[in-house]
Amino acid sequence: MTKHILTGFLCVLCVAACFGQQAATLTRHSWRFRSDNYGGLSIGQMGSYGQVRTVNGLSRGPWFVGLGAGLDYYRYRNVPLFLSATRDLLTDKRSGLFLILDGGGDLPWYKREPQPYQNLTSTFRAGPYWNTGLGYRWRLTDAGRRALLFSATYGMKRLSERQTTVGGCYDPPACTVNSGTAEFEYTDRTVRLGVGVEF
Amino acid sequence: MRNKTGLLAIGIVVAFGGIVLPGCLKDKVKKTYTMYIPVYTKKATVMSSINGDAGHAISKAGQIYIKDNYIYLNEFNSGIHVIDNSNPAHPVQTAFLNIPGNQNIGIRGNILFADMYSDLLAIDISNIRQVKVIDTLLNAIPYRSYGQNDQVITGWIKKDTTVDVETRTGPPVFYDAVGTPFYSVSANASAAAASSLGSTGIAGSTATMTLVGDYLYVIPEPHSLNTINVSDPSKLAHSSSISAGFDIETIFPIRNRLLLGSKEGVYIYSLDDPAKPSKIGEFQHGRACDPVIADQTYAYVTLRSGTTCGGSANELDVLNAQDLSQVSMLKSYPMTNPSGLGKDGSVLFICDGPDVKVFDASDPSSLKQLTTIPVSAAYDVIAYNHLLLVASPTGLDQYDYSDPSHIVALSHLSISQSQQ
Repeated sequence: MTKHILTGFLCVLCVAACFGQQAATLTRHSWRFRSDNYGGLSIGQMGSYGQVRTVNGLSRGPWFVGLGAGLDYYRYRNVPLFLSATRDLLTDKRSGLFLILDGGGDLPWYKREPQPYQNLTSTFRAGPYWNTGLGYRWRLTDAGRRALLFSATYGMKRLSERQTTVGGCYDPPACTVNSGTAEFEYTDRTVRLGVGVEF
Repeated sequence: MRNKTGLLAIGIVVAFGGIVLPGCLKDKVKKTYTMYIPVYTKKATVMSSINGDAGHAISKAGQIYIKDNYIYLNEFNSGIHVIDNSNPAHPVQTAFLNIPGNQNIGIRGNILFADMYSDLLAIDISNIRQVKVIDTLLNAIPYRSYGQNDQVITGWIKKDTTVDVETRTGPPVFYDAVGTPFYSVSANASAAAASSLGSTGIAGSTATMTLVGDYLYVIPEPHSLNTINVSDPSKLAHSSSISAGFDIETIFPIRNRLLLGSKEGVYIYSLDDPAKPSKIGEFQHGRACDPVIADQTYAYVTLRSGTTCGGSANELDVLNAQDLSQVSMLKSYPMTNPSGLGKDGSVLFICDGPDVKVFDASDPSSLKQLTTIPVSAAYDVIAYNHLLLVASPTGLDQYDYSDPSHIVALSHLSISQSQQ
């Protein structure tokens, strides 16, 4: 996992190194509320699945920090809850690139519905979540705060699941030997493409 | 200019993503489970060490069986505890028969028949502390063939292991622990049946093996009925194997007939030709686990729902069984989650969830509950000669039911359940 975190950071650092010096000097230096809201796709080995996310927090100058929550349907529906930080890299009056870095946890919101013959019970547990990449802001007006957002990020989420099965038996207590438990750990790495709006 | 630079940056990121990231998009699914690795021992070695330690702890009790003054208690897949019950108030563990894979017991005279995985052993128990294997019928229960020809599994090494599994959207394939039995075979009879079987013993109601005359009848898997000629215990011989029905769970002998309890109903087989039973009737009920016993006139079937049983019925069905070829429903009684049952005279005992219920069955169309015995999760009973033996995961309890309305506790033999 460390390898992939480093890869993600490298992506961000490369872009930052290329464009950091060109970042515009922002005129706004006071804290203000901001809300970034995206919808899009999580794309990975299993295919493309819908995802939405919202980050609400405070911005000052090129920085924006906030609390984020989302809904991701990749593999098993889940709710990422995270801290998010973005930094503007290139801006002009109406558009600009910015870096995105999210980190937090991933809560399962999925109930397995096994077939009756499987005699299986399942419990999902939360895991870590991170996401990093680039965004592009396109303000709808020169002076307004509303903007269209585009993002391309790479990230990882992990969920765990405990499955318990009970096999057929005829006479208890023999039944008790016919059960078993397995722990599954799902580590999913996806590219997330999103479009959204900023308020 | 800046817009162009921005677009260039996006282009670089997309190109970077297209080239580098595909390698980073591999999902990973790890599965951690407990694996059991079998330990094999030569059959000859097993046979020579069949006389085990009398003090062997009772940890996973299975079938119960009584014969004369002894209780034979199956230690699931490990052997048989022999308990001297001369004084039911003070049962004493007297011997332990080391029989790997054992789940069933049947006794006629001084010969104990026991399964050892797929093999059937005939054991002379004249001296219970020095028993002797007098014959082995290989592959009598072919579906339990876990061992190799000259070896049997005598233990399991438990090992937790983690493996990478192929990523997929559906539920991961789940494997039961290696060595987990997928069915059980056990000896069975009842007090009612015992009287007609001469020197055979009495077992609980959940059996899948029973002795009638010169033949041992075994349900080797839920669809078949095997017949083994035991007229000469030193020369056990296969007699027949027939397809007997669906989801068969228990077997019960009555009046030269066999009642096979299945999850769908009760199959009735004639023993007019004891070497080859033939089906003469059938009674259908809703899907449920279903031990069945019978007396001369009525059959009693408990239906239990649940995870492994399916269905939703929890009831006692009393069947009119005077003509076993035309069994019909007499009356159904609601229950909590009934399991094994036993009957002695007009007293009917039913393991039902937190209690053993005691009924006056003088009039089967109008059972009267006399009392309850608080034994949680009891799974089988044997009622014989005013002595009630109740098996539960926590112990063997004995009661005197001379007065069925005022049952007296005699003893409790504790079972320390093992974790498997």
